[in-house]
Amino acid sequence: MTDHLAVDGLELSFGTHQVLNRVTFSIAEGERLCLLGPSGCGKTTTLQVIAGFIQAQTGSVTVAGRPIDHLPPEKRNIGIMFQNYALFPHMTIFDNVAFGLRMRRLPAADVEQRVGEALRLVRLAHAAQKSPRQLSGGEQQRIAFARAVAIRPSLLLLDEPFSNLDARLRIEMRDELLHLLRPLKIATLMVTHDQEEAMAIADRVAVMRAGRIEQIGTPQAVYSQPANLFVAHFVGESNVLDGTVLEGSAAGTRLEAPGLGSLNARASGGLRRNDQVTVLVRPERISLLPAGAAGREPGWNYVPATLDEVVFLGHRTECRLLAGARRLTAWQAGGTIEALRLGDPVIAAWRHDDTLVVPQGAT
Amino acid sequence: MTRTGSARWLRSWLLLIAVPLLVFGVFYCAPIANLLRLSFSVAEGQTGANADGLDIYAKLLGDEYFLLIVWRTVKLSLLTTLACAILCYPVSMVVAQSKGWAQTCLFIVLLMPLMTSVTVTTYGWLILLGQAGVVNSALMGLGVIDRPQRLLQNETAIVVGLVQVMSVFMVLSVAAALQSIDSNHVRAARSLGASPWSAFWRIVFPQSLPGLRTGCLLVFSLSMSAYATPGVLGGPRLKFVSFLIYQQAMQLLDWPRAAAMAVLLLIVTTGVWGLASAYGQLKTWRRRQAEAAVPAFAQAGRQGAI
Amino acid sequence: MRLVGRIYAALFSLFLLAPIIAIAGGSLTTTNYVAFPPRGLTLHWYLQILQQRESLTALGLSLAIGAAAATLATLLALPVGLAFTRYRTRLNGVVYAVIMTPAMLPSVFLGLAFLVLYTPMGIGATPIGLLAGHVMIATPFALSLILVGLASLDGTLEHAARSLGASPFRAFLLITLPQISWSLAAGWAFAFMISFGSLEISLFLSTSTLVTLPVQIFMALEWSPLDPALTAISSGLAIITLVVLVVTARFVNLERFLKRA
Repeated sequence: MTDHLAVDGLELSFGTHQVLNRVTFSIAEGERLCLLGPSGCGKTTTLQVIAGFIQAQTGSVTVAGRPIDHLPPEKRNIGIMFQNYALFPHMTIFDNVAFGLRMRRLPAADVEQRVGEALRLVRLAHAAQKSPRQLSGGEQQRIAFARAVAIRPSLLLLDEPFSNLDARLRIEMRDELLHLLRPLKIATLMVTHDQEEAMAIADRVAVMRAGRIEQIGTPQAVYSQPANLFVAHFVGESNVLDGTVLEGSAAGTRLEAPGLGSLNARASGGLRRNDQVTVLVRPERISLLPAGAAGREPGWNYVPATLDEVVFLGHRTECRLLAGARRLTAWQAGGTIEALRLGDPVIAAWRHDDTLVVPQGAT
Repeated sequence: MTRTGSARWLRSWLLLIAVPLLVFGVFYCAPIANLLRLSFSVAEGQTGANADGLDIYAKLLGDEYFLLIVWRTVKLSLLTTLACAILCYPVSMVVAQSKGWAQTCLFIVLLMPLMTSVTVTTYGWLILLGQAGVVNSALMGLGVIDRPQRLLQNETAIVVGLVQVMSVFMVLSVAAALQSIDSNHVRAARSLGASPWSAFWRIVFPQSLPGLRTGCLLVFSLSMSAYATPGVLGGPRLKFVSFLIYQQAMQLLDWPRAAAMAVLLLIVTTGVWGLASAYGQLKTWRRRQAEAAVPAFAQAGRQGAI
Repeated sequence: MRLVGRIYAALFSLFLLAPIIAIAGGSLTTTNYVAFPPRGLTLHWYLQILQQRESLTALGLSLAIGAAAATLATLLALPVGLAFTRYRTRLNGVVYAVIMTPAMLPSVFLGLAFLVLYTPMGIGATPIGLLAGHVMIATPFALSLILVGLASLDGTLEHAARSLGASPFRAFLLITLPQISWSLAAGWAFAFMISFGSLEISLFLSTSTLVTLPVQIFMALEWSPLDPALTAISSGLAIITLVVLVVTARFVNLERFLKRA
């Protein structure tokens, strides 16, 4: 696959505040990339630079091999779905979707045909003559999508597409959008602060912090192999422990975690004896065994603990454990721990491969 | 579209602003500068050693007749401001609470005196307060007085006329402040045991003070420069400074003296605004000093979105 | 408590409207001096104005100056408002101060200042000078209403139009302008009414042949305050004001005034 959008070394600062710090990434044809990060991390600014509303101080943006930095927004042929949808309130739905086509001076018959196509795509052909105010939030979003793709853009930008919807509708629209995007095979850049949205929609996720891209990879890779503590925290939840390396090799890492004894972790290059590291374990990877359970399998870490608190959340149960002075959280599906009571001794068990090691200092 | 590319935005900004600024420069700023210059010029026939630029001002400030009129203008403007504040505050509360067409009607009623030419409203008071006017007949009908009283050409008539014209500024300023108050504040106060009166006095009133201050400043400065209302309702004996200025300029054709009077009037009216904004800045400065003590990380949150 | 408030507000409204009611009522009297409440009802005095050339000329001048001043004020205020909302700079504060102060400075001071400089400029006693003075005092009102309109405008709409291929000018014309048209109309109407009712500025800039209606009424008040024809003209003025105000209120949510501060 060739790079369709190439963003290279964008830098932007206001005074001493660096908004973008060498932001570099690319999107292949038909690929969906998501910029994920907390508010103020520069992800929306990146989107605005690509759209042409903000000029970066250095760096370049290339679409299909052609630099577009010097082009005004209207010449870039980039479809944008705005966070608040930005539907023109004084126009009908039809006129909204037709706007971009009319700006391109298409003949009226073509405009009508392509608006019809776009509206059928989002299943709102019947609403053509309504005003945006008469539509629900979800419908408005579909119109915003139809308007953005009706111009057959070379790139689609989605700015926090679900932030204006309530929780239930959000999941519904997420599936809907994915369903709409897949057949279009259009290079898409989405910006969000919600890791679930990012992982659901994107082929690849780029995690941003303070104007920098911390890690780019498939959702699976970012989740299971976070490059640092920030990424691990931002994408999913983790138990965070301190540790000292006892032995590191290509087969795995052996380390000492205060209060938990020695643990085995996944191999991690460049670690030497006595290095201080941070150990991460995802809560859903931890299983609970009754204290007396016999049998130790190879490839597993076993840590004795007591059950301190149990929180039932419907689809899962959160168990807070005390292992010495350390706190651990383990997620159990359904009611598997019904037999246990608060204060009972248990054994927390997880695979060596589910134990991630991040060098300390790489925050 | 934002702060980047400073040369480019400055050019587009200037492009938008250039013509209006030029027009205002020529037809507004230049006349004002010219008037200031004129007021400091040496009066005609005054040559020699003791003629200087402040000559006219020195004379004016030594003129008892002029000072008497200034004092009357200030006194009646203060009275008007006080009356407006007391009479309009309850109306502001009604405006802030009302909705829909009721509020629209109230707005129209409030804006009418402002938008109708001041000559028309003044004329109306002339009819109402005249010897055979409806106020006199009503008072006689009620048996309060037994023969028509002279209700015009006194200070009360001036204040009544000014209050009617100026009250819109007071009501809108206070209502804007009242409407921005979170109604949960009052509910919280009530739930904590405050009576309706003390909830108003301790919660609502203090938060409406900025609006009240703006209203008072507007009413005071506009009353100071009122022309038609005191001119017609006060009669020839009770002149205001602005009438004096008109007389000097248009009847006595002494422009430098009229200019000096106008500058003094300007200084009194804008001086009040200046003091008020200085007070406001002092308060902001004090708050900034207090904020400087807040740890930096608390501030970082505010910079949030770009 | 609420009822007391409403009754008080109603009484206060009556106080505000009393002089205007008196003018309108007095103009209907059949007596040949002003009486309020009117004795009998007649439109005689209104018909009589039609024979008074002076009053008609003054009315025509006031309408013309008002319409021209309001149009120029709106045209001057719109680019300023756009510059303020698009570019955040401290210079905006300076420009704002220059354009808004005419509404706050004593109008006699302004009238005198205009007279003193317009005369050597050669427009002292001309319609141009009168118009220039009116534009200066009307622009602040146009600007403050246009700013209310621009503040309620969603900036991303223009971005959306640009991304769909509209040039900056077309985006402004097709998207921004229709969104703020109500505030332009309201700004125009308020500027018109300020100019139409203005007395002091006109007093300084008028001559014996160049007289606006408020000036004519004010002059007439000195010799014949009880002439019913005068009340007829005045109530005509008040009626025009009321109509413009009601029409404005019909299209503009006046509540936005409270949001301005």
